[in-house]
Amino acid sequence: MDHIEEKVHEVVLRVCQQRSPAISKIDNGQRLTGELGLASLDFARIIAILEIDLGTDPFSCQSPITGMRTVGDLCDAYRKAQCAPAEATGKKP
Amino acid sequence: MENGSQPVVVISGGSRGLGQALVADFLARGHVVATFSREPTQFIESLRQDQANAASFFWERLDGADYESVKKFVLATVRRHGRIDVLVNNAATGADGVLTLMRPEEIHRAIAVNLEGAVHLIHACARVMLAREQGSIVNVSSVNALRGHSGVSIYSATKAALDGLTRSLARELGPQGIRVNSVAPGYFDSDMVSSLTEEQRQRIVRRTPLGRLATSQDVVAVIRFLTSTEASFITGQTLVVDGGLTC
Repeated sequence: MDHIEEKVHEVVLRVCQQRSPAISKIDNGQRLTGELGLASLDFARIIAILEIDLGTDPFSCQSPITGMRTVGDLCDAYRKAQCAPAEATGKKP
Repeated sequence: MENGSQPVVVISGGSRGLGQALVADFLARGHVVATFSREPTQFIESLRQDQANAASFFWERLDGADYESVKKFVLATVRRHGRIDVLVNNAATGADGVLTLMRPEEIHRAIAVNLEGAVHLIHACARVMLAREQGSIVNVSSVNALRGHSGVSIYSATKAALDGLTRSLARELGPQGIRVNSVAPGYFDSDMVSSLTEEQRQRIVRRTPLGRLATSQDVVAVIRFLTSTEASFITGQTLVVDGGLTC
């Protein structure tokens, strides 16, 4: 597990557990709105926390947020953003 | 990233008028204040030069209608202070004149500064507030959002839009602990009413039950209340500060 996956899992778990304390672990195959039950505002909160912690927002210009189905999709979007030129991701150099 | 215990307040347009009064009030009460304006003023320069404010005051020159600049300013504030607790959307520009004589660029500029700029700042600050599940946003509206007056149609439209934005965002962000309210001042001593003639001022005073124009401190006091814990169960509201002019 790379540091991006670790961070994404940590934040998704934190937000999910506020809704459903019974959720105890996150894996890349879990569906964000189905299995994990995340609502739009939960998603917004996850992206807000990850923007502060990882310094990037892949959805500001690169990845379409509507394409995020699973936790793995989210990890891929952040990995892609970390590798892309700064102006394409909204990430500060 | 500094992470003190003082509440951090972002105020747009803090260089003069009501914005200046808000900056002074929040600083005096021990808050950290981050503000921006298109140009510095003597007030801003005096704060920047005073070493006592080095940790608690942050100003940048920027145009609030430019989303990228606003986003960078908010991220810089978060990197310095670790949080944003309060946002006061104060920056605005007047747009006086009958609509049919206004140029398209004047109309666009007023909408860009008064409405888009406020939306951009909320978009950036609300994300930070979402991460902590707490925050208070106050949008400075106007009695012109409530009552029609000839010659201020675009200004009125932008302020009425702010009130609509306030109500929807209160619903949207409330479950995450973020309150959103607006304050609608009546006529108060500011650059934007300095063009009124004495006769016009007196006419307003005669129509005001409390018999005077507002002062900026009247408005500051309401914003202070709305952003305090004493207003912790108030959200989605527009508080009118006009001495009864519109009642």
